[in-house]
Amino acid sequence: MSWFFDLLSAALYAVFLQNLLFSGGFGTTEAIRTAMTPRRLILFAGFISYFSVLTSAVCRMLDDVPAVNALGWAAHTAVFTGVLAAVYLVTACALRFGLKASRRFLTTAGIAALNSLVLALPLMNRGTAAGLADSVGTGLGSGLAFILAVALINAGLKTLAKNKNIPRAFRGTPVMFVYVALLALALSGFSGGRFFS
Amino acid sequence: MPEPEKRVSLAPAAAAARRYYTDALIMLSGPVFMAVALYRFEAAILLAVSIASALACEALGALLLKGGQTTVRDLSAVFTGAAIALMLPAGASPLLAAAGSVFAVCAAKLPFGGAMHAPFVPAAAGMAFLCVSWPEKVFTYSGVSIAAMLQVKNSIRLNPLNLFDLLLGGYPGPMGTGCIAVLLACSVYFLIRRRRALWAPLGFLMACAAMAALFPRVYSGSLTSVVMELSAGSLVFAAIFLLPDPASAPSGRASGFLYGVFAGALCMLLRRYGTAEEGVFFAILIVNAFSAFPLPKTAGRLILRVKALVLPGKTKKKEGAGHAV
Amino acid sequence: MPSDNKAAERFSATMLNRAFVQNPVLVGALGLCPIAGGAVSLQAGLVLSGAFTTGMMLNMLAAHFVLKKLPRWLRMPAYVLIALAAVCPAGYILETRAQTLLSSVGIYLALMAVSSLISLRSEKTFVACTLKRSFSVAAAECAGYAAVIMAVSFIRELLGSGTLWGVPLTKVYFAPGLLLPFGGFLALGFLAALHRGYIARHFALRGALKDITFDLSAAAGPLITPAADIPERKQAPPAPAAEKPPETPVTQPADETDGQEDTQASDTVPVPGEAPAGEINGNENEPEDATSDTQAQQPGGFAVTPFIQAADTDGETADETPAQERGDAALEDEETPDEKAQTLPADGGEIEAFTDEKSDEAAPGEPEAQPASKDREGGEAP
Repeated sequence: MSWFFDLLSAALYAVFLQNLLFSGGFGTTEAIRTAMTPRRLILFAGFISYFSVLTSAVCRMLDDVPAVNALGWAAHTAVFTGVLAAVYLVTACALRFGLKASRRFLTTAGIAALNSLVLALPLMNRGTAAGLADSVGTGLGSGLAFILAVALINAGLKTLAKNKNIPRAFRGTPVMFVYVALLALALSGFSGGRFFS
Repeated sequence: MPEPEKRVSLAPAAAAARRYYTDALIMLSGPVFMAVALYRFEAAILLAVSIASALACEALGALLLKGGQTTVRDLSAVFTGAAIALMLPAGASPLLAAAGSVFAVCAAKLPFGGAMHAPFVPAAAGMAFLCVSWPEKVFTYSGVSIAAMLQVKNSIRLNPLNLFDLLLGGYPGPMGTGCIAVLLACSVYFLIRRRRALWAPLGFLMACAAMAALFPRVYSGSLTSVVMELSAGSLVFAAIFLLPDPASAPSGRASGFLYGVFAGALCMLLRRYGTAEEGVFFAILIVNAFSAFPLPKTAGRLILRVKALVLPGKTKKKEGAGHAV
Repeated sequence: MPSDNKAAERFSATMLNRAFVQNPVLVGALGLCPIAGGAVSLQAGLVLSGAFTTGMMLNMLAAHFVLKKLPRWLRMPAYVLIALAAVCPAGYILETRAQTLLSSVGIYLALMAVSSLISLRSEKTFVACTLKRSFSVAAAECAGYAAVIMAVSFIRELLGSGTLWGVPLTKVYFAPGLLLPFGGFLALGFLAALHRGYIARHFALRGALKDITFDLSAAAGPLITPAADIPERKQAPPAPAAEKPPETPVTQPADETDGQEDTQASDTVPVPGEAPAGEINGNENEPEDATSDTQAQQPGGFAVTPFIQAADTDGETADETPAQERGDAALEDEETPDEKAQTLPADGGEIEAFTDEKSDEAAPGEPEAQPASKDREGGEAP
């Protein structure tokens, strides 16, 4: 059962203690855009979790292969990105030909798969020598972290939208960036440092 | 006959802010007096530099951003500067206080149009920035502080002498937050002038006490844990002066109380699991972010509905958002 | 030759518009991850800029010559793999010659392969436009992105490390906290404010600056609303007569269409009583084919209110969600209209950047848009 607790703790860690979006800046473009129109938030976050879990798990298993583990930075990046692309292609084929998914659905899946939050996870897991349970847990947590980030940004932007006193130079993206910065500062109390370098 | 000089009066919102911050500064005079009495010249320099930096940034920001329309007169910059200085050690560099004040005003206040529209408490943001950037300077005191003791699971014996020292700031710590007795006395002023603003601090302190009692970091009992946790660091100071910020805290009793409880729970979690010795600033920022959700308001309304069911006829008027300053 | 002059003018206009006025980061909020997390020193910024530029150019060529023949769902991973061709060599060189720099940049170099800006631009512009046009857009986007990365890197290295290009500077009081991602966002915020103020002061735009963010006048609804609490569907507030979009269809240059749909999949509703056009705000006149529905009813009884009122612009089928989500619409496979010349006036101050055909009319209370060389009455302080 320890693998379950490892998985759970890794997921909670990725959501709360070191929110991947605010601690590392991963997936913030998608989070901000989804916060503007959060209509498909759950679907998008579900896709992120799905692709994160699969990619992290496959990459973690590949890392157990000595030949792959011995590769340098560039080769490892290529392998992990190739795994991500492959996972997406298999999923897209299944959606397209199996489930007759619409173009919009496939596009959502593509944007969710091919973003920095999903690709960052296997790279981070390798850097921290995370086990399979931790990798899967972090993947699961990434979707929840995305939802939390989008919800916080959306709530903040709603507040800012009602604020008529924002100086003209700051209206729009400037004040949004400052708000996200303060959110990231607030959540850095747990991590206190750079998430991964 | 020369025309009488026109007096430029503040807009209603700015006048309301000025009233609030005037009250807050009156309350702050107690900790300021104690800090200067204990630390003399160092404290005075730190306060002066911090307040001057905040005022300068506010004035410059008003000039650049608002075409001259200034929020300096609402005294929020003075309050922010003074609060930041009081939460620093007396031996801290004045540049540290200046950096905190500059960040608080430039990043957490000016872009949002002033203190009354800032979604995050500027002083808390400034202190969080200092904690993240220079933790070794923010938490270095002349001796071992209560917070440092708690981190290594040391405790003090709860005898009248130690209790007296705790209440009057006899232990090393931030220069304006150690004297709990003075802080509690100052809160009486709030009780008289702005009673509604005390619900959040009350919820905060109760949550902190409950967490300290249930999950003590020391082995000498729940009571010692509660006393040490409440007197450590800037917890009580932040509860009284930062948490009830009118721009970010809900004004209703139930929602304010829940807001405080949430902040208190976060604070204790951050103290235990966070990297900084003091987590109250980050807790306040996090709860400010969550206060944009209607959750506290919804929970408050839920409590009112339950109360209306249980005690029909005694339900008060519906709570609104924002303090009546 | 007149055609050469025209081409040069067009290139200049595209560069000015895309790289500066409609900067993809400061206005479009694209490609944020490497800037927030990786741009902590000038050297790191240079590496990231170089990787981005190479990836963008490779994608431009591949999208124009090869990828346009593939369906979109196959193109998307192709963009990532092609950008990898820029990232991996850079990483290999750093690994063999500058290990410390690679450690400093970290995984953010690898994440350039999945840059949202590269994918978006490839899909919106490079697939559909001519090679010349694609090149000019790619060059402009690279210049704009690199400028922002280098500016953020400079600020963060100076104020966060007290060094410049790795050389320690004496007597500099630096804040290591600015090296964290929040420092990157903060630097972006102030840069964007500076940019916005400069645009307001020196450029008399004929429309509003296209901005990803919110409609300042509308009180947006909650993230999720239970069905029982949904009020009747609210119509968008009617625009004042002076701001209503024209009856005739709006024609617009290709690059303005791209910029429009990149940063804002559908135009926001007009803002009655809002600051007049010419000020920098995020509000646009609504295109005439836009619906005014503000809520999309999802199956399951919840209505997730869009944060801003999105317009339905692409005639979807009945079983699809009516309103266009910005992220999806940005990647919709639409034919970009033929490009139209965008010329700069002789004084260089006015940009015909946006869609509003009523731009020649002043909004109520506003002086007519004037070139920057003339004094503007009521000019706003940034």
